[in-house]
Amino acid sequence: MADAPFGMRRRGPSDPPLRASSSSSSNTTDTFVFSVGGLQRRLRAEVEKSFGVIHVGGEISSLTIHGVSGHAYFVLKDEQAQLRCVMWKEQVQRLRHKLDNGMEVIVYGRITVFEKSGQLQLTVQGVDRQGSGPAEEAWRALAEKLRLEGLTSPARKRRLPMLPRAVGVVTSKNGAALRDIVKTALRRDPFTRLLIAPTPVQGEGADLAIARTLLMLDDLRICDVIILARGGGSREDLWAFNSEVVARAVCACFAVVVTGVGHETDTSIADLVSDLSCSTPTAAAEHAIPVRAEIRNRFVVAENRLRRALRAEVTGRGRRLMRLEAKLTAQDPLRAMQRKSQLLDELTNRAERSLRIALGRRQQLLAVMTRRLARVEPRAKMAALGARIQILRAKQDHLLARHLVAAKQRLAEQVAGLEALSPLKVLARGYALATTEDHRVILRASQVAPGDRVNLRLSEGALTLRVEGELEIES
Amino acid sequence: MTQSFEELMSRLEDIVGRLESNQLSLEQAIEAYQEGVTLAKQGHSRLADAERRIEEVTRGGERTPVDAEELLKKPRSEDEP
Repeated sequence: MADAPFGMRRRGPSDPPLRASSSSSSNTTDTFVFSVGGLQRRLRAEVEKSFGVIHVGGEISSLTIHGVSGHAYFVLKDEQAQLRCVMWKEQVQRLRHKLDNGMEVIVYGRITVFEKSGQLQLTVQGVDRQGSGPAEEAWRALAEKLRLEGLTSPARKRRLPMLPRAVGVVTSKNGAALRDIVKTALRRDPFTRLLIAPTPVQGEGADLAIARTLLMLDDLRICDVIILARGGGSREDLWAFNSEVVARAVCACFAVVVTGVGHETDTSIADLVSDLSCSTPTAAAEHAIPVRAEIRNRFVVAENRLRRALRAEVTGRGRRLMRLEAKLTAQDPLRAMQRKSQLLDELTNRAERSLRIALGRRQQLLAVMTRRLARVEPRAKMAALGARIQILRAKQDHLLARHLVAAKQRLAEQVAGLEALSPLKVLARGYALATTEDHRVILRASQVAPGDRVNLRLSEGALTLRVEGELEIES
Repeated sequence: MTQSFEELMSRLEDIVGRLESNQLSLEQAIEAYQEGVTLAKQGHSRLADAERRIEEVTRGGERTPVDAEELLKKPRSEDEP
């Protein structure tokens, strides 16, 4: 094993496809390759699906009951083969007969594949001691016959009514089964209606008695469910429940039949054909009789849910309606128009107001400007200047006139002074005025030399004279 | 023909489920609610319509009342034929 070629790992179908390798097998790529675990799982699923619960006959061997868990492990074998079996603690404890090596049994349970070892394994639910006697042979023959008629088919089994009007009980009057059923019934539903039809369940003619009682009770059409029960007993004690007549009566019932025969995993023919088979009378009663309070509670819950749902529905719709209404009024054109016209009014008012304010301000400004303008108006200024000019001119004229008078007077005075000083007047008195040719007055004798011409002005006329020389004059 | 208790129950649960699904019109919802309430009432009355009654039925089909306490008091004995 150690030198097996693990170099190339084969992969499960869910893994990505392997790259084609150059190694020995050329068709690896198209062949579906199981992983070991995948194959086991597939096999297990197939086995469990195709077989389900099966009965297998054989001899117990290699029995071990695990000390800690209490589970039983054994091998069921016959001349040809072996089958690994496991039986869980709960089932082991319910067994009436202790398991033992060499014991011939019919076990029933689910067949499966134990994944680790890949072995087939039966998970045992119950064990019947396999008598080799005629009773066991008859049991198997009858079971097979009924099965072939379809009377054991799961499709035939009816569901238990949720609230049976009345529950029938067919069992021994003095048996523990009856008391267990009544006790259970009262515990689950104090208002239960029970119809008890007592019948012998063992001994000579018990099969017919059971069948007759069952049908008689069913014929009343009062019970929706009938419990057919019997407490524990030996396999021989239960023979009536393995009879064909009881099986036929069970199959003929209008009421739903629940069996509770024995209190272990032994299967009776009645169990095979009933609508529901329970391991004990108590269990049968528990299935047949509902807890009334639970059902009432379901109604209360349903009512509450109804009320809540409707309330939620109505309030939800109400809320939606309000929302829509709000949306609608928001969309109302009349309102929109009103709002718009109001808006328009407001805007108009504001416009007017601001217009008025602007106008006022401008008017004020205009007034100021007008005033200022008036102040700088040129005509007015010119008029003012003109007036001023006239005033100044008048002033000037006056001053000028005064000046003129004063000047005239001064002139007259000057003229008078001048006349007094006039050389002509002096000349008249006999004096003469001598001047050079260039009209300079000769005041000194040195100013002229002999031979120079001299002009001599006389009081009347003038003479030109020639200088002859200078005279000596005594000072 | 009155409906079975199962029918009544499943109809009620169906109605509750539909009402809770919020997919009904308001009229349908109210109708469903009323039917549901009626069904619940019927259920309650059927549940109440019972009294503890234990009867023994004899071979001819005659029924005679049995006292439960008496029955339970009986000493445990082995089955007899």
